[in-house]
Amino acid sequence: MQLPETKIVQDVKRLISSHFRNNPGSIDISNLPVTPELANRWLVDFVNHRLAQFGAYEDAMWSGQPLLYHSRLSAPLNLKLLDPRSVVTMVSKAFTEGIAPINSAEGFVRQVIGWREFIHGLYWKFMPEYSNLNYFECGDQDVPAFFWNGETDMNCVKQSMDILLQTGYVHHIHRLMVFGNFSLIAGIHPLRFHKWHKAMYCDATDWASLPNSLGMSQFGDGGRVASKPYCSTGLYINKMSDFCKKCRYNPRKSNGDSSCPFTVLYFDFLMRNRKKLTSVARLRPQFRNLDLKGETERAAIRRQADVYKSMIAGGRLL
Amino acid sequence: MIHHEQTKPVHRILILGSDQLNRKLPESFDTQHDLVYLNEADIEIAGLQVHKQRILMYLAAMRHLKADLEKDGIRLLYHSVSQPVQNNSQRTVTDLIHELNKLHPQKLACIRPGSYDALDKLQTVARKMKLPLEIIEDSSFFITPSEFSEWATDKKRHRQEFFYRWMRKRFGVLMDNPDTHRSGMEF
Repeated sequence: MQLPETKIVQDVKRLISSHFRNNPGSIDISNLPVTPELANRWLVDFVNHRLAQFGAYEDAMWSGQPLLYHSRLSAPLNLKLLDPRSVVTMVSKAFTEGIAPINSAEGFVRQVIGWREFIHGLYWKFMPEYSNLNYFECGDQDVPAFFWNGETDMNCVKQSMDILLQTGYVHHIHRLMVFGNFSLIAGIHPLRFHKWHKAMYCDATDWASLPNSLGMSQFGDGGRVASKPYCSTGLYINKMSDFCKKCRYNPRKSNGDSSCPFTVLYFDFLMRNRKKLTSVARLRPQFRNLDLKGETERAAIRRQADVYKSMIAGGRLL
Repeated sequence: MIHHEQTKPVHRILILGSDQLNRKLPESFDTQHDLVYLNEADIEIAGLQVHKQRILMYLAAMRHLKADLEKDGIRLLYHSVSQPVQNNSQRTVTDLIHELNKLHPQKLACIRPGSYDALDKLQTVARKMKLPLEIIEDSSFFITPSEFSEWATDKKRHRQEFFYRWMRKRFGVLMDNPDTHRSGMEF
């Protein structure tokens, strides 16, 4: 659904073109719900056209389908242009009237009265010391250059960046399993990841971003928000998307030229942080899998990981 | 750009954040004696690589709120940014105090801000001005941080699954239906 461009939006676009032209992203396309009335139109559009499929596809990513069945209501909710009560009421009603199945309605309501309130509560419970947490004792490594400009051969990152640069939004699986996953296994500092997240997304207020990015995504809080780190090889991305088919990297390969950086860095991450991860029951099968590889293979993975990490640190194309 | 009437005394200044664009002002807001303060510099765009869409979303949404409040005759002090401003927190505190002092308010108020730093800044401002700061809980959430703390107390681990069940009971949302078990991994 394309929203009309208000006079105020046009004025601000001119201001950005003259004074913020070197900032990341593009405003060639603008479709932002900047008033309560426009935000409500988005809500109605979501409930009528996407909610029914939301539950079945919420964890999928697909080329050319930036929104899939997501609501994209996080920005108007977090700027308080939309009241979460009206969102929950409308979604519950859609279920009662048979417009949406239970997995969609329940899955969505969970985000609003469950996750969103949970994150907000934790933020105020744990701040200010929360922002200093760095469970894996990461060095000061910042996010890679391609998190700003999208210039990378990793097709999943490139596709996700294309959407992000155009809209200031990608849905949670892009954030968690592409950007977040990459930062986590590459050893990016969790607060740096949060700062990047806050700068690049329309919905990222501090209370929403910090527990989601530093906490859930980067496991910087050692498991206060999430029960396990969200790390994976490229094979998970291959399962959840169509990105790997068109990528020059192979998610099955963990060393050599065409090895997928996700797969390489994932095993390297497990090896680097073994001690800190022994308490995480859900990762035990992954460690057994790692142990099945011979020492020669593990050394090759480590060497390949060092190559990729030095490319990230040096700002080279990956 | 400054919009306010110099003549009428201001009792209380309600300082809104750039993410507090709810059209419904807090119930205690007194249209006769209170004034709303909003500053576009709050969106922290200077010296940071902030996405253009984010700047567009915040600035346009703030300016729409400004237009709506003006239409409703709400007294307003609003600052626009016409260029990137340096966001030096020391300086913004001094500037804010200077600006608010000109209105001779008796009280300051804010809706719980979207960041700890913003709250900290407002508390510093109030302390330096020797004025009380009332923190109004944001009605855009179902529960307040202290209600959350009550739930969280005496829990070793805070798990979203249990919290969600508690919230559903509390607000009677989708209660007739079975609990489908999913991991909470959402933004």
